Amino acid sequence: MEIKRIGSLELASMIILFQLGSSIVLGMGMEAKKDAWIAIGISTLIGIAIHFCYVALYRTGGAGKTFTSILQEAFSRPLGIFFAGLYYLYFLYLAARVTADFAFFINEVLLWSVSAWVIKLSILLLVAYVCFLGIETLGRSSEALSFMTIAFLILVIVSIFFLEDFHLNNLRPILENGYTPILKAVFPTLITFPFGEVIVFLCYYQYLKSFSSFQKHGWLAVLISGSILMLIAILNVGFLTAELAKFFIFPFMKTIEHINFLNFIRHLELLAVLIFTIGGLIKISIFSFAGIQGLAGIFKVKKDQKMILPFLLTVYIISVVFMNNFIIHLFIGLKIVPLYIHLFFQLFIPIVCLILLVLKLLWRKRKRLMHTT
Amino acid sequence: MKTLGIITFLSLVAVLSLGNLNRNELNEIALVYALGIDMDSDNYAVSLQVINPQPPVNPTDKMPVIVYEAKAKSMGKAVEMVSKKISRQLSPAQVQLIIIGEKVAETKGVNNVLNYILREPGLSSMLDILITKDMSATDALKVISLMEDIPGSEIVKTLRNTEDNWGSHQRIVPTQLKADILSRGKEGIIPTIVLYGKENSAEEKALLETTSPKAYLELSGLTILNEDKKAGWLNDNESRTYYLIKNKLKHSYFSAYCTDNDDKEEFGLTIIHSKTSIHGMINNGKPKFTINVELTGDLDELNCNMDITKPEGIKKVEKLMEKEIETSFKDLLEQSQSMNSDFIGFGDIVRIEDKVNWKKYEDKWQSEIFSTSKFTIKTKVLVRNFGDTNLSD
Repeated sequence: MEIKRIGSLELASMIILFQLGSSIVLGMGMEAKKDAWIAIGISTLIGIAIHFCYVALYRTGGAGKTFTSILQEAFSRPLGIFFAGLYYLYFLYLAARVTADFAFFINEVLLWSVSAWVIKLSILLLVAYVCFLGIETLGRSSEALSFMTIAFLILVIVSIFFLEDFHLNNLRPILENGYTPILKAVFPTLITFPFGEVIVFLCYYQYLKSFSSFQKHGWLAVLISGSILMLIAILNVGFLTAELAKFFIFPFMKTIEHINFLNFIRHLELLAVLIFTIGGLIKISIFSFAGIQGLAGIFKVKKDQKMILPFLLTVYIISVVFMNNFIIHLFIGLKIVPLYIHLFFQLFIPIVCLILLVLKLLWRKRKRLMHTT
Repeated sequence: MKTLGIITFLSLVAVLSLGNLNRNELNEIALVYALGIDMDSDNYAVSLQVINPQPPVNPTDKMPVIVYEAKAKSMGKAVEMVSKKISRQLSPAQVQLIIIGEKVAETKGVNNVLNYILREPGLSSMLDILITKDMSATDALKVISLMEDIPGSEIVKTLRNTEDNWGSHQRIVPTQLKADILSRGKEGIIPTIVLYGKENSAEEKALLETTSPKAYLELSGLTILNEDKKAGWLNDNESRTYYLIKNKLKHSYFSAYCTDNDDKEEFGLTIIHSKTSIHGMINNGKPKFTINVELTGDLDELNCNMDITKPEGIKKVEKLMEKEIETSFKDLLEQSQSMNSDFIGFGDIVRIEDKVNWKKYEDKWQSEIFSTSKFTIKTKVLVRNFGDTNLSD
């Protein structure tokens, strides 16, 4: 069977939409108050470094191989399958989290009286269809949707700069409380969400047409999404002032509601819902597709599509049964999950993996040298 | 083919039957245009100005709006209790104006009201907030509009008109008001509305039967808050000066007396462009601020006995205007200091320009330190044109 391929631009647009997905509407880095944009800037740089680490991991694990095989290469065969299984369950949990985020958002902003399970069902049906159609569809639709998203974001950002009540003075004095709040915001929350979640793309590098060209330019995607998040933080604090912005659950939505460009472009918050829907859809699809592919490989299922129904049904059940209180959901998502779960899967194991793979590579080189001499 | 048939059948069934699950027909919704919140011995008295729809072709004699009231310990409860009186479902999405009664600001404070406005997801973010003086919010909502169809719309449009032309009042949105109240460096300010004439005659249609109505609403000054309770009131001229200091004045009209000793005749300038910048810092616990104002205006009225065809004449006009502006600034600053309330925002200037000292004095700024500040005012007025003539006798 022919393996479908995606181009570099498609994967880059997937990365951009993935990272912007649920981070746009939540207030990122608000623990650093006025310096949230500095915190996000620092996290972007760290995110680019993390991206390079994962690319290196993929290269040393033998390019063209699935995530499971990379883990098996680093650890032994059975241990590799065990860790791979853990990872795919981790992706399943993250897919459930993003579904719950999305449903809460729609409930809050658009459809107040609709039950959450209906919203979750609709988006998961869509995700199932995307996964059914395969990787090419995912890539091409991300490319088209990312253009739309970035066009809308540029419109919004330009309009907010022209608002009457937007004062850059609200961001001053810079570093009012020193570096401590910034560092507290960066580690562990900002580097794991959204920048560390790029680990899921280790499952997608195998589909690239030319990995080398992606290697050179892939980090630009992380830079673009990080800069957009930084701009949004500047807009939020500049318009709403830092003391008020941290009280809002969705500060960016509040800022967008005030856009009144030339008395003609108004009520853009309805379009913002569309953008979040797109981001949420792509994010859930990326997690789900990776999990489905991986689990299909572990359980040796011939057709990947047979795995879609059990996987998404589990996502749905977890999302509906365990995630129906927004406050607890946010608390778990921003205080507990980054520290205990994200750090383990996103930094600890990949670093161990990388070290083991590099050691193996060096050992093989030494063996080859010893053979030739 | 079989699956296609099943899908078509199911879609047809869904389209024809599921549409009735949730409808919002236009004649089952009551559009609330304005909200009024008063205090009535521990209860919130919420009044809603609901639009009374009329057929477009044959306008009947019905009043354009109906005001409903309800009282409860919390505002949301009061709003829902109105459903016992009204035949349609309230839709808060169209609310454009919220009038806060004087008693709320004096007793409990504006915070509860603001939090409700910000939290309620149905309310739009771009609504105007006004506060009343010497009357209740309910009475403000009941006044019949003179020119516009909907009374609330008349108040909103008057506010915008004043903002553009006279400059003594500007709109404030709930997020900005809340940000001002939360900020330690300045105080919140809300435009005030008063009623001229008798309240009971303002509600009746008989008001409209004369060319000069005996009761009407007028914007009058700004109410200053201390944290979230009412602390003082600025009159019309002081409000205009306030917006000039804050660098927010759009178009306005300033007048000054012709000579220093003769207090009888005035001249006036239409201000087209204004720019104010304030800098300051704290030295040894004593704040010092420099205020630079630049105004550009057209000469509009000259009742003085001076010759403005010569450059010295225009310079004299400019100097007189500068003095007048400096005096009005000094009055405003004195009032701010005597009230112990920094509503202009000097605290924010210190926070930006002198952050080390701000950290030391932040807690005591409003109550103690601000009143010891010293100000240096530099004004510059430029008269650009003087109308069509240069008559001056």
